[in-house]
Amino acid sequence: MRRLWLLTFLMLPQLGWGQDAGAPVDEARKLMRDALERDVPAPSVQKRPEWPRAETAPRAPAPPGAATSKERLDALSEKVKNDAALRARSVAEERRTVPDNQPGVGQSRTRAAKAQGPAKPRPPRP
Amino acid sequence: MFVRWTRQVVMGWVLASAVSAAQPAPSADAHVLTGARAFRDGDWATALVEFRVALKLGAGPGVHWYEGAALARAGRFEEAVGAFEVAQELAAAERDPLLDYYRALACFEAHLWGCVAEVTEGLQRSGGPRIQQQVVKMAEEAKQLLSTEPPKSAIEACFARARAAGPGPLARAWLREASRLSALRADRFRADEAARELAERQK
Repeated sequence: MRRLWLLTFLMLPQLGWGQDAGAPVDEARKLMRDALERDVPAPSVQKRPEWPRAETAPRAPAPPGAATSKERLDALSEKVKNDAALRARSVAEERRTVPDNQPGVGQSRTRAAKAQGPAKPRPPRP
Repeated sequence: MFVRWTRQVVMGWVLASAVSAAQPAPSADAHVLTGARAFRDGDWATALVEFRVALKLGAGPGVHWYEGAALARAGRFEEAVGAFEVAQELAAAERDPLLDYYRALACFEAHLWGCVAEVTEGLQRSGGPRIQQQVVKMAEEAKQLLSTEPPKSAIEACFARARAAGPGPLARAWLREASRLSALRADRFRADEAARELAERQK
């Protein structure tokens, strides 16, 4: 009989006695309570409360005749192409008009200065 | 003698194992605790994941209150309304004025004015001084709107939102809101329909 009591006593931890089974939950409850209490979020400022709507964020309808996003993208890429062609054409024209000894587009000033010959001596300071 | 003693030990061990197997798995509680720590640290996304994992592992339905609070803090107010709806249905006894404040906030931001009025009414009696100012503000805004007759379009919007929400608890929250709003109209517009759908979804 004494052995049986001893056995029961030894088995108590296995049975969950002496161990606080609800400890993590209690700790979680305390943590949550502290966190909820510490920093209470305020409701957003609303100019006028509104009735619920069927959609979360209703989009404004596009004006009649407005371009779709694909059309806008196509127009933009066409513009980029045109700009590049225009720039290339203007560069070629400028090269034709600028004389050889003047710095042209894409020509460094040092190279142009070399073409002009040695620099004139500065007049002496008074 | 030795054989008897061994038999007693084995029987005791088997009994203890059977009892410990009947207890809920501790991993669910561990996830609740991890979620609470993340919530304390302001990591709402992690807190939400931990609470949801805990619920899947068999944590008590009271964790739905924490799930709702994490969703509200993350700015996902409509989902928070759904989580609070489940919490109210399954663990009403575990409600707390602070958690109710988060519920009122979620309803406020999602424009469920009937829900705001209902929750803040209770909070004005039981809530602590720390939240009273915000509670009064939310209650006043809800009362201001609900003092006028809700338009039919608002009730229809509630039905539309319920349909869009699918079979989940958010749909029930919207149907409840439709029911509250139609009760404020003289013609009780779609009141029976709201009650019927709500009862069907609660089955």
